[in-house]
Amino acid sequence: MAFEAIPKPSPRAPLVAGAFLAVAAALLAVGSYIGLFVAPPEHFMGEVQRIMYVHVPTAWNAMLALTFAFVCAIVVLFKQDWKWDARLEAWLEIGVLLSFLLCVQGSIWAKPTWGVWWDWDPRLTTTAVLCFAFVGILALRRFVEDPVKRATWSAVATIVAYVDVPIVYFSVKWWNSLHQTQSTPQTVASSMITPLRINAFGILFLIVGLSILRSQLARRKIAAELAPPLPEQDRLAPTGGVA
Amino acid sequence: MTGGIVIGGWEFVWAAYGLTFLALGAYGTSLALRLRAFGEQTPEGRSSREARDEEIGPASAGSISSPARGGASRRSIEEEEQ
Amino acid sequence: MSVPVRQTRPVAPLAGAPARSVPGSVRPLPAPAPIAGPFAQLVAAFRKDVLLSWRSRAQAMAVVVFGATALLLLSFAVGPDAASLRRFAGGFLWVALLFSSTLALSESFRAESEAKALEGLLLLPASPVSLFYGKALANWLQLLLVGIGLLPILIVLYDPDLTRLPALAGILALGSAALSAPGTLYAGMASQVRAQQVLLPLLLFPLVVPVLLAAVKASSLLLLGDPMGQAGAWALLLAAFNGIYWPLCGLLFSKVIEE
Repeated sequence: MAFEAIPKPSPRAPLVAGAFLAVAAALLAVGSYIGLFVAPPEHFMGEVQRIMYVHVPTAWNAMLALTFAFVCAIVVLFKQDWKWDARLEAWLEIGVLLSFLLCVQGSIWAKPTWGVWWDWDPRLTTTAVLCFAFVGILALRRFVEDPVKRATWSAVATIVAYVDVPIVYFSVKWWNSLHQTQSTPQTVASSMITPLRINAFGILFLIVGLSILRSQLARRKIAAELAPPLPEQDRLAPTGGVA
Repeated sequence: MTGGIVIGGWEFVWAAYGLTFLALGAYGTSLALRLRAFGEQTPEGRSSREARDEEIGPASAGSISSPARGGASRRSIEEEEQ
Repeated sequence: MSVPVRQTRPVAPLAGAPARSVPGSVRPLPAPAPIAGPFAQLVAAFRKDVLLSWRSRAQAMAVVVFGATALLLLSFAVGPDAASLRRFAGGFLWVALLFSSTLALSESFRAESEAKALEGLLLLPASPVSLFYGKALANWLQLLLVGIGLLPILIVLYDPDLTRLPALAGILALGSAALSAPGTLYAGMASQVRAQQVLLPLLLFPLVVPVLLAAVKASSLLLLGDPMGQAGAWALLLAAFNGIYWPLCGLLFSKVIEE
């Protein structure tokens, strides 16, 4: 296997990440403020509709994170570089986190709107299945001890799971269309697009910053695993000779 | 099914926003803390400790004098605290 | 690798050891057998796995019994109302088959993990792709047989409409194929790890949600009556899943078993 070079942590990375996170915080503050207090309430759903300003950006970014994970997986299989395995681990975790949040937000939205916590909406159901699938890949990473196998297998599993995403969506949509009479609103009025876009970029910057930090952490863990730091050598005793 | 007007519901909005930002913030904080813990264990942390020990080392390699023994015991206490 | 290995006959006696004790004479090395083409490798791998399954057919029977027990338990969970049991018959069949598949799939790699046969397989001049397809086809056969074995129990317990039984067998074939391809890939991973019992279902079940949906829908329609002829569309979805995953898993399998 060609996983040769032990990854070195990059000293500037935390600063770059911090910059992304700072911009993200600003964007999210502005976007959420507009969404919560400035934008008008929607006609049928009232104030509950404001959840969309955080739900839709989370949805876009969850898919983006999983797509980045897919790209990293392919690169890992071709280039066999530890840095890309670190990035894969980061994007997998972030993708799972965002998918989980998406399900939570979807439930919170569904309760006042439809009266039930879960209504088998195709997009949310697909997200739940994805969440389970990618959590399984994170579990795979924990169970495999050999680092090279861990990198290769999680890349393989990520590719297989990602290819499944459209299939799951299509099959659930079709499965549910026989019964579904309600669906989440598709059209968004123009006054609502601004906070949506701001929050979308906000979350994008946030996850990029988080992924930089997470992949730095992964790099250090891999480096520690492959070349564990030597135990502190005993210093020469004042009276003794060579140990 | 395409219901009428939903009244109120601010608590759901706060719940959604709050949980989302809380989760993301907690994740980011845990990452920062874990990175810092790693930074102390590995090269930077060790090399700064080694630099400190280097100053004491050569002095103790020579004579058996009380300052040196004091230095040696200080070093061993430090090592025990790892 | 130039070691000639014939996969269906015992290895020829060591060259150089004289058949008769004629001092000073050494028999020449036999000419190396040509390396079999990929299709022949596939057939050989398939035969090996089917033979191994046949030799441990008691275990295969146990898998069918496990599936039948699962059917029974599901029926108990829902209650004795015959009408609702019949409505859920398709769903029960596929859930039972899915649970049985984890047993069957991990069984298929038992020789590789316990008897360390994986290293032996890797030393063969056989491509991992052929090994995968041979094993996946053998698993498909086994899952199909388990499904067919469950049909009598299904018929007795749920009293479904039997006019479209051949079509149901077709759905069983498509569905078990769809389970077998990614299942063989993941079983290959799980067999090399300590937490194998948990890992295989954890990875496989979310992936095969579309298979479950399509197979259950199609089976229910075939068992209960399909006035609008929708079963074919679900069968098409199953075929599409197969069409995507059989090539993909074959391509990726080499990454899973290489050392």
